[in-house]
Amino acid sequence: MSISKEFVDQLQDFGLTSWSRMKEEMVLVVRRSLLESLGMFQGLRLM
Amino acid sequence: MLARENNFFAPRSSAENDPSLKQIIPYTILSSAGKILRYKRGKKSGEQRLVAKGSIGIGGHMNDNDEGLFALDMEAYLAGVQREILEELIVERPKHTRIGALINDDSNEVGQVHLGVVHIFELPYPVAEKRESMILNLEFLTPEQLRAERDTLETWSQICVDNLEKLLAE
Repeated sequence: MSISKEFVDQLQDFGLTSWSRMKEEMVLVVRRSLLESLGMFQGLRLM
Repeated sequence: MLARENNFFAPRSSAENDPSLKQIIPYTILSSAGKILRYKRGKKSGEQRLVAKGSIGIGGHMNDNDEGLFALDMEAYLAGVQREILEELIVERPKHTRIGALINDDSNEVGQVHLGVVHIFELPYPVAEKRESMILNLEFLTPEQLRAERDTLETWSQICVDNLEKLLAE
């Protein structure tokens, strides 16, 4: 049994669309250890 | 801390549950003529834990909107901060901007995974209009008025209100 190129293309399109929908939100972070190395604080620290 | 080598992007779902990481949240205070902008978060607010709370900070998560971005330098970060404000409010260009403080509140689960960077934007006039429906009851208030309604504010705003004089001093 052979698989048509059209069917493969449709599968690829579906995969890319699904991946795009599932792409997770990425957020900017720092490591807590960096803060600790600079001197951890609770509340507000003026800069 | 905001140098490119110190920050990076991580999936939000894991960052929300990983206290070894702190999500950087710009928290911009808009002031003019001795007054500070206060608003209330509506039901359409992204952060459901803060709905109906008063706030004096505009901002949100910094995302990797730019393709291929792995970290931010100060210039890219500040551009992101400006973009956040313009997405939510219509305001005049600020006369002056600066970073005033960091907020770290490890007393609760939400605070344990976030770090606030407090920006002070001095506007030429105490005038602002909302662009986002999540923003309600926009009002410029004096420090005394803000202290009077302190208990209705979200925690980070309470921390800022407790330190307003120092924050607004040049």
